[in-house]
Amino acid sequence: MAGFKDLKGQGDAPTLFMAFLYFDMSFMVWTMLGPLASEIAEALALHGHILTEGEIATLVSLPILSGAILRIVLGFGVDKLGAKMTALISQMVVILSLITAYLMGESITYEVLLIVALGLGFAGAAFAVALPQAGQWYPPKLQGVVLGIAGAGNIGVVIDFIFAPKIAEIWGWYSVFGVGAAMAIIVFIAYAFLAKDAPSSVYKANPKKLKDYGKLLKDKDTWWFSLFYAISFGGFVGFAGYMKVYLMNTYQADMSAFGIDIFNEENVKVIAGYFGALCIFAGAILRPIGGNTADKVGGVKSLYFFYGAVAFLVTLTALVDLPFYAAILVLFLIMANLGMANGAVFQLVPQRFGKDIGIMTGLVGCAGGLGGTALIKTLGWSKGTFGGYTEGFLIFAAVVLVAIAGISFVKTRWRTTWGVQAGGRI
Amino acid sequence: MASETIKYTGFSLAKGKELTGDDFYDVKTIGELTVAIVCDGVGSATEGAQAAKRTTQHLINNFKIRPKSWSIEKAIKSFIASINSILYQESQLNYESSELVTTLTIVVIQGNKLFGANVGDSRVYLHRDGKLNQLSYDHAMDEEGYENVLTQAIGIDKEVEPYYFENLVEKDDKILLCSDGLYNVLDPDILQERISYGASALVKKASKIENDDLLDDTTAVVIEILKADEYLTLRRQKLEIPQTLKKGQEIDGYTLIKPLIQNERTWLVHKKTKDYVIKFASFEAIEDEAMLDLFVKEAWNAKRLKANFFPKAVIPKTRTMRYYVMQLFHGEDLDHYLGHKQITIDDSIELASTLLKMSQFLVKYDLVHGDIKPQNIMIAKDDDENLEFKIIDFGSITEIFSTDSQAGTPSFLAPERFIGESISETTEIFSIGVTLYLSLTGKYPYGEIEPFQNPTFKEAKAPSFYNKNIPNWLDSIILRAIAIDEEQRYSHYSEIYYELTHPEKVKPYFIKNAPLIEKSPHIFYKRAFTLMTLVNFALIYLLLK
Repeated sequence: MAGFKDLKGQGDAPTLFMAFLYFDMSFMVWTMLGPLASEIAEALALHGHILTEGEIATLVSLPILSGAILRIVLGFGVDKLGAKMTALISQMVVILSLITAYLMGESITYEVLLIVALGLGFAGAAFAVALPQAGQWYPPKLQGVVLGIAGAGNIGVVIDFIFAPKIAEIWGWYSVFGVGAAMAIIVFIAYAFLAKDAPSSVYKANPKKLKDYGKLLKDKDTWWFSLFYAISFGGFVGFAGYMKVYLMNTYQADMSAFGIDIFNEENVKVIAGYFGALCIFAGAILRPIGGNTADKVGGVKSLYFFYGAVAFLVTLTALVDLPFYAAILVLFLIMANLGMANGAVFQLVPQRFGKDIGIMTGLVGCAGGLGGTALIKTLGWSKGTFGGYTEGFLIFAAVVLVAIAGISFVKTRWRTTWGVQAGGRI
Repeated sequence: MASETIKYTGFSLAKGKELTGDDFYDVKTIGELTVAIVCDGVGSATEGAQAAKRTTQHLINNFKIRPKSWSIEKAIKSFIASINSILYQESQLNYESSELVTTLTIVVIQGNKLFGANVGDSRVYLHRDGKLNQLSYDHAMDEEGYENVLTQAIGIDKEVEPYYFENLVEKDDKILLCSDGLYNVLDPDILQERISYGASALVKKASKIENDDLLDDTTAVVIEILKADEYLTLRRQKLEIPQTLKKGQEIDGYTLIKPLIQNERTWLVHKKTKDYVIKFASFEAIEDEAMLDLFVKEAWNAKRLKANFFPKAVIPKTRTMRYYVMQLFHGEDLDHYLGHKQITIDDSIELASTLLKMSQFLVKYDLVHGDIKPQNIMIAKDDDENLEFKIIDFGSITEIFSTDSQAGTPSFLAPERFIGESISETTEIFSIGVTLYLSLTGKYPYGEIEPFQNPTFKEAKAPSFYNKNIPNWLDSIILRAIAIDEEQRYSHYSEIYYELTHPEKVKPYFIKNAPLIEKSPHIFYKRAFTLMTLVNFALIYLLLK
């Protein structure tokens, strides 16, 4: 196993660092609407537009949806324009969106917010740019470490939950966009100077063609992996994005009491942010553990376990009226298992798809985003229609059970044909 | 001498009226290799002839005992280096100058591949489509009058740098190896014209031109490729690969009845009054060269590996699609059988010996099965209700010691195969061991392993732990076959087969890191005593409190 030490003298450290920063920044901006949802809803209500549960869900899920689709678009951009140019363009779009929201401030309308949300999707698509850009510089055996470092940007969403509500309280919710824009501009400038595309002597581009996507879509395994990632990553970003709305709707009184007792913090939205951060942190940090577990005991076995745990815990949340602390613990465990399932899925993908890994990452990642969008919309619809989350959680649990059944269904085929035909390692 | 695919002739005449010359040649079929050598001893004394003869014999003998893991190139280069070093040092010791000196040409043919090397001015020609091409390179001086001065020869210096070459041969190709005595007399166009008459015709022609008074020893070896390599012929055939196959479809007189495997490429079929099994190439093989290679290799192996533990297989000459036909075994596979029954000790011994006989049969072709597991073993019953076993699946049969083979099912792979080591007798014995373990206990010794998993191997429980009927000696054999540490495992089929047939000779098996109580009861009891003392004090304290 290659470690950090091995990176010394290899590749290009400034590019790796900038890829990490760009990705972290993007992830933070991408998921910014989640922790601000309650503040925004209140602000719009003041201007006479009372958001329905469905509208909140749409707003929170839109960046995830556009991010999912833009991933594939930006993937082509990397091939045509180079990683750096694509990154600069998409960062520009993101900065413009943030500035728009900041400048319009209190007078912003729901419709404009939706456009801003679409623009933030460019940040979510940073996956497709930052990871290959860092990867291009390094030899294959270091890819794991490099992608691990660049991918640690997942933690950006945790930072959002910790700081965004407090900033919103002090300077108003729109100033979070202002702060975001200021940081994004700094990263943009640093990126423009420090990040470099790998020269052709280091990396030979292998442009993706639409035909290759078509070929992979014919492979049944592509669809199964898309479902698996739609559940694990979709579950992760979906719950993360909706976490604050859910906590505010369900445990406002408990959190309020907790905030005053422990943190001497009267703003319950800030406290909701802290609890959200705690749960999401579990998912972000445990991803590599899931990958290692899959490596040791096998991807199929570990997915059974992680999905089984998620299905059980989600059903528990849906059907049992848990006391506040137990509920937080269960949410924490759900996020932890989803994070580990992400790692397990991505332990399998490179080995199953070998040379097509670039395209598969795009497709599977897109499916993950769509899964997240669907989850948020389902939870919003459940709250709007039934006044609670039980139905939404049960639907999610049912989909997880379908995936578990799917694993059992395909594993015999995998077991007999993967070795010889995938051309990968045994 | 002739075989089905290759014919060769060799002939040598000494110069003038002499009885023996300084040339030496030999051609031998060694396994699937044809090895041809011509040497031309240098110098007037007998040492030249001796050097030629010894070099020839050295190379032939070494090819007979060539380590299987060596490539032909490595073998040729190493053997040349070693005989060079032997002759050089012997000369220095006995004559204090290089006397044992000879030229060398060697050609090795394996399937459709030609490997060759030369040192000195003896030549190798390839005759194809009426044209003669020189493959070798003359190590002789360019300047006029010095053409006979060699720049390289065996035994002349400490090191030698042979000229090495490779080529592909086709049907009707002829390869000529000769000493300078031949090509100095016969012009290329005469060689070209008369090569088909064989070696002796060429040498006699030369002798005739010189009025039976040859100026130099003259030697020729001619190899004729009668038939292109069968594998290549199969590979080149233009055949359709159907995208989908349907029930009831008729292909070359075979009616498809039902698919036997989930991927729908293996079908039960019916022709006239009989049922057969047909296996089609996968559709991806149309675009994917590697997949096509795999399938052609599989079909070719199925056809040529004939033994009573394999299904009979044919490749119909008039087939219109890429497939091969196999005999249908009635009955169920071992995996299915184990689902509702356990096999008896006697049956398990029969199973082990069938698997070992099959492996020993394959190793004669330098092959291994590569995917021994219950799913690939069919069960039949003989008249006395004893089980008989047949082995199916030619798809994973591969060259022994290959490292790039993806063959195998993870749960049956030896630990070292997960870190990229080559497939060998000992890794096959491991698979046989796991198959026996599973058949007798219903459990995998190291758990079920998934594709792409990096498993951790912990010592397996003895099979007798699950199945009390297993005698000690069989317990030890199975444990020794599935030993995690290669060093502790049987390394050859013959070893395990011997023990299987001589139970009284089997030594009990102990794992390397046996538990303390087995390894050192003394320390174990000492530690246990200390622990018990502490527990007693704790109890006394609690009682008095």
